[in-house]
Amino acid sequence: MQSLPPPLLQFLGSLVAILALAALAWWLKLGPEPRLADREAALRAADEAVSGFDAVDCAIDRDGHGALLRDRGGRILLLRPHGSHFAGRILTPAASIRLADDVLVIDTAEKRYGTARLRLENASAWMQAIESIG
Amino acid sequence: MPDFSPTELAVPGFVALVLIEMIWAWKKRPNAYEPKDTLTSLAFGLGSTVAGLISGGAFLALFLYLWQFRLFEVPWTWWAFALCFVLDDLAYYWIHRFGHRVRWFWASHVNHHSSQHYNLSTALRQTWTGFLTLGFAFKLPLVLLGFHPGMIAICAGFNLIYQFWIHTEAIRRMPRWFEAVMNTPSHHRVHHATNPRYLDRNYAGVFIVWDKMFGSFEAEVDDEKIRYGIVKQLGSFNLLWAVFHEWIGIAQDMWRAPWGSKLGYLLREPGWTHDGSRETSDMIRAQWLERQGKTQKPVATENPIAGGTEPA
Repeated sequence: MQSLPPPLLQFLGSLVAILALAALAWWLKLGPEPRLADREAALRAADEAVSGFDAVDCAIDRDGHGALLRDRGGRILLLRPHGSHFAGRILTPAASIRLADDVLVIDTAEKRYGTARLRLENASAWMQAIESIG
Repeated sequence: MPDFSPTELAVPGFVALVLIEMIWAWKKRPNAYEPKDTLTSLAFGLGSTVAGLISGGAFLALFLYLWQFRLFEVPWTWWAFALCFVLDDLAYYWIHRFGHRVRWFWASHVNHHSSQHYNLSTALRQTWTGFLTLGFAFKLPLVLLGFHPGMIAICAGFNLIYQFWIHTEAIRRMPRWFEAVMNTPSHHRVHHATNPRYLDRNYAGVFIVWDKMFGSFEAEVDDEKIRYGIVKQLGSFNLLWAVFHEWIGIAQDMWRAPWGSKLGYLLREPGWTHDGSRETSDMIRAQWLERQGKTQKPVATENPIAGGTEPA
């Protein structure tokens, strides 16, 4: 180790500290997955994702792992967990949707945001609504 | 010139304080940390030290060259350090304000804001691409006044160390006199918030007085839950995407835009579009105020950098 240049040694030391801290956060079970308990929570999360999103229709995943919401203008907002928070996207005509068993698989067409898998009450109606965007 | 880097010496302290805050989170606020978010933030910090090593030398060389043309001889004394620290913090305020109001600068600074968490690991979420902006130009007046580049670097290091501890939700308020003068966890929570009332506020590094002086101060409201991050949350923990997404966005927008609007995507405020298809922070705030039934002077009217709220 003595032959390593100091900046490299410092880099490796920092890397070890980083991995140790992230492992500790995981071991302490920090950052629980968020759940949408009810409509109120979904509306609040929608307003956080898109300021002023005024939902008139809302469907929450059976386990609270996300939601679809529609506003007066017909915009559809997808909420899905991202770490211990939610991240939302207004769906565009590029979005695609399919039903796999009773799970709606929604692809936003945004590679890094990826797909969301939701179990909804009125899945076929939401599927139709998303297919008709554009 | 002394070979002294305060930030390097502070690293063990940063690690220890993150550890202490994690234990606090475990006891009181488990959702204050999230392992993947923490790993991303800390990897940002590590990468930024590498980027700093590569680009820092070049900036120091440039500053040392320009220092030959200084107006005054500023000695290496305690009062010169104190003055340099205050002036460096003033320069930081303007670099930071440009970092939020000009998309070119924001492409680099957005890295520090892209976590939806606000904890001490967020403080270490530092950019890798700062050298691609003109932030260093704001320090040139200090060099030309006669402050030695080494002194400026040491002051900037202490400035960065000061800003570490204010990235926490574990401290609610500091004593009143302190809140009046210094940047604090409360003031900086406002800065990291995406609540419309808080967008583009509190740019201070160490002294909050600059925000009060230049009209960008907003106090934290106790009964409003703060949400952190950026207006369009990343929704991804991919480190490279987190580092470069805004640069890629600028390139794509400039490529697609009509000729007369291309530069606007680089030089106007984040969210600006030639066709009004996206929202700037001023627009978001104005719409929010309209919904609240209030009227308030938008920050852009106080902001000489990127004043227009309407798309060109």
